[in-house]
Amino acid sequence: MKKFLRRLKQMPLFILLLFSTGLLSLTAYAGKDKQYGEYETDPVSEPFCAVVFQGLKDGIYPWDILTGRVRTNETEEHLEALLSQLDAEGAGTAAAPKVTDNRDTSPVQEETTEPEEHADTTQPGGQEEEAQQESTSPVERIPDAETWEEDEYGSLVDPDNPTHLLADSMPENVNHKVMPAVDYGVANRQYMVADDTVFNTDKAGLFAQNGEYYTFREVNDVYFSDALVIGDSRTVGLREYGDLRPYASVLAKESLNVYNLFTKTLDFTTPDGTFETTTLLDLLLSKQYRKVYLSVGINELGIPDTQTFYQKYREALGVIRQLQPDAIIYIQGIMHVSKQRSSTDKIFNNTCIVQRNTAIASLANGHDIFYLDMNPEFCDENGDLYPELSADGIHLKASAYSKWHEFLLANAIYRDEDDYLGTGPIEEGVKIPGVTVPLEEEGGEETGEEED
Amino acid sequence: MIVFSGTEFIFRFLPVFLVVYYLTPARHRDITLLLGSIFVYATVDIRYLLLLLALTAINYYLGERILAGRSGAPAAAQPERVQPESEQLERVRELFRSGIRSEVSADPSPREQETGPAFAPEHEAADGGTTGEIIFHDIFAEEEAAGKEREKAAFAEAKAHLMESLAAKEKKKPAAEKPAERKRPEKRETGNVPAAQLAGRTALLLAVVIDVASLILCKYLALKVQSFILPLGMSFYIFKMISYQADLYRGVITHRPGFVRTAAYFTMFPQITQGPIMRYGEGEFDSEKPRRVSAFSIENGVVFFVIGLSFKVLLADRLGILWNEIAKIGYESISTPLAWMGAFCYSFQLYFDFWGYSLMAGGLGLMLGFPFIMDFRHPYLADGIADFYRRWHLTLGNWFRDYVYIPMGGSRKGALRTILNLLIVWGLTGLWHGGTLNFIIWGFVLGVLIILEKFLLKGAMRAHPAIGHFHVWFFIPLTWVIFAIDDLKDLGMYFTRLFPFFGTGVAVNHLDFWPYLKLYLPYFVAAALLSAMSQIFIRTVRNRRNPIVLLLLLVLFWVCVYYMVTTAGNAFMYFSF
Repeated sequence: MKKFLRRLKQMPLFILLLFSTGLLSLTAYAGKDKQYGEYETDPVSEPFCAVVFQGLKDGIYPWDILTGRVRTNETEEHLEALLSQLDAEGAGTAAAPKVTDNRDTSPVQEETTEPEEHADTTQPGGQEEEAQQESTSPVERIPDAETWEEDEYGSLVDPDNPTHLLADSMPENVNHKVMPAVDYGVANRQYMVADDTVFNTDKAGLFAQNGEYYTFREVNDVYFSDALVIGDSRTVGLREYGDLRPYASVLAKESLNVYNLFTKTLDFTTPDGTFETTTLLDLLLSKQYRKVYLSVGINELGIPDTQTFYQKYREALGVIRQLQPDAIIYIQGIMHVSKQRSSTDKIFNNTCIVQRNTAIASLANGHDIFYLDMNPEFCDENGDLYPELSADGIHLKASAYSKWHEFLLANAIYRDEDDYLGTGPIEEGVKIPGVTVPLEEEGGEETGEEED
Repeated sequence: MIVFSGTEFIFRFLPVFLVVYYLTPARHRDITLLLGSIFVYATVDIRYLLLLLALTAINYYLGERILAGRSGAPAAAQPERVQPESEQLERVRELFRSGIRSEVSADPSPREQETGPAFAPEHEAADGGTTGEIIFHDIFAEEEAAGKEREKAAFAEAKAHLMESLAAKEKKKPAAEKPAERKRPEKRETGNVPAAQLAGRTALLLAVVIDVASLILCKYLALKVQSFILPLGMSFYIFKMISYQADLYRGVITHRPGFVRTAAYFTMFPQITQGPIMRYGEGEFDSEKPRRVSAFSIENGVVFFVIGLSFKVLLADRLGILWNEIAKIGYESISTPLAWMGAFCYSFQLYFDFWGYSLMAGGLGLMLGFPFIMDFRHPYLADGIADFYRRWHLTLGNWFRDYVYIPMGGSRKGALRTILNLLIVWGLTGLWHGGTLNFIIWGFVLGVLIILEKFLLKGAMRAHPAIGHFHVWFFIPLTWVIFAIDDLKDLGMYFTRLFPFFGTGVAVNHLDFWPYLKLYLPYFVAAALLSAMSQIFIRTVRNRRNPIVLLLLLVLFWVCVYYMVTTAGNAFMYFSF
């Protein structure tokens, strides 16, 4: 025994490591139902005490376990309040947004009910009310999932309304399966307009459920003067290298995702040179924008599953809608990744991206929420990001960001001149295309022609 | 799994393995090691495991033939140079014994325990510039010091031997027999070769051809078909196999235990991915000695492991993010300051990644009862590029010296031959690192720089040591850029950004370096200090029983764990873009 103790004395660091591991594990155990309740560890690859470090990252300190402090966050509380308010409003109207959970993997219900929800939330804007009188009762619009049909891409489609996809229609676990690009590459065609579609009015297309519809048109940079561009590291690149900073307000930071969208502290820049850090929630509460571009979705690919992501995204749009009643909201589809990445990465592959895009595309209403998919211009026919545009397969190279900027210029919505001019300064001689311009240009991204 | 800096390895595999290993009787620990290594390798890819085991079996069998051939040969080698060398050899041996082996792996004497033994004397030697430095860490250009070439070459050879033949020498063999014997392949060729010896030589040839061919084949397939075809760590274990055969043939390995011990040597998990390329003798595989592990060596192992882990996770991985950022931007669009930041960033990343990994591997070796194998000796303190590579990845440099450079005549056959030999060695070194053209360019550029230093700048560099240091801090980062970028077009683009008078970039943001500088400055400072001041590392190791140092190491370990848990590896927390 004595000999054993003497040996122990010879290895102080070893002992300290064992001891501290024990201590941290105890901490993790003590807080496992409280502070660490939300965290998961993989027992095969991670120590039990890993939750302590995950908590630390979110500001939960080990000593909180002793003192019993439960962290609170003002921004989060505010957000919670807003969300519950939204829920209350939603319940008060016909939209019934929360009927979703009665079917475990199929978000059929929310797929179809959400347009109404957003229609409701747009009401405060007052701009388009006339246009969107309750066309159909939401109750009628909930289709029977049993009747939905599988199309040639394996997605479930409502036969009465082919533009609506069942977001989570892939079999379980497929989200983590790497599929060859060719299997999914063109799946997003389903939420785009068919090649030979003819629009009869200049406001046709775009997921519109009712009322007036709009098509994408070309604008110039003045359009961005009252725009807010929100996004993750990809948007950071757009700001730094896409020459967007002089024209638009940009709020972006890497690792932004739909789960921390409102509460994460982000870098905010404006054309007049402002640079500050703020959260999206604070910004939306303090300023009004006429256009909001939202580009998130790549970071949370690893977080299952598409349905949760979809719910969260919808919730986010609801908050933005409420706080920015006059804004045109652009849902930017998640940009695909390169073939090399897609074929080797279990998480960041185009199968998953298409699935998620399919889900969020259905949130557009063609009225004040629009879905913008840059992938057709950045990807080859298999849906793989052109390798020359990206070095890591996920982000555009600096020199390719201007292409994104141009894409946004070429695909903008304006419902009237106010949308175009916004509140920004009007330069002399700026050409403002009128709403009466005939619309043969750019049928590209729309669907919704099934609407009558 | 095989990544030492992952929670899976540290918290799952390693504790279980160590417990099983320590519970195994010392005599049978190589079996445990072999099984553990097989398990680790199997988690990577079972097919590559089969290849590894097949090559192990082939090499064991051919080794048997070589040994048979040698024992059939007459006691070869006339020790004509015994006298002058034996004295030096004694010195070498003495230094060696007082060196790291006894310090790190063996039980300390009670006196040492109390006072805290002076650790890692080779580092002190490095700083003091004593003979210890030359002896332990000489690589290709051993004849630097004018007039001492012959002597030093002998030193280098003697040193290479000593580790391998120490055990043999204990058996009352004349101390100098080995170096003399080792002179030989050429010598034997001329003589009348007995049949058994011929068979041995054929077996050696066959083994080397098989090993080299499978390495080249895999590298070629990896290049042409799919990069994941290259089995993990193949470059390292193939080199172990070749050195094993050569040492058997030369008689450096005299006593060869059974298959298990040899297989454990080839496959041992601490070294399979990134070396060090330990020699058979260095790992004391050439004896039946049980693998005893003392509390002392476990503690040393843990210390090295934690330091290595910190280098890897807290420096290399952090700096790696910046390097990825630069790649992400696209080399055509980075500003010149950012390009230079990138060159240093990658240099530091590579250094601390590799050094950290080697320390972790060395630490694991200590925990398992092996001697500490050193791979890095503060290369950025070098006084020239040749010296840099005498301090960088020692086991690889020594391998090329012992099995390529010196057998080809080293520097003893005139200047032209020396130049040729250096170019061949560096060309091969480049090829070993990777099959793409940039690695070959990298090797040749280094070869040319070393030749220039050796033949043109020697005098100037001696008079002005600043020249050599400038070479290290200017040319080495540039060569690492060549090493890093395997697309030649990109590489050319990167160099035009480094030296912008050759062309302009596309969509360059001229202030892009500023946010990165603010963000990464602490890492650059830490990396530069650790590179330029060996004392930080040496003192940390030497004072490893000091409470403050202990606390520091403990904190470093858990900070590493923090990064391991909260960054990659956790698919559910993949918020990185």
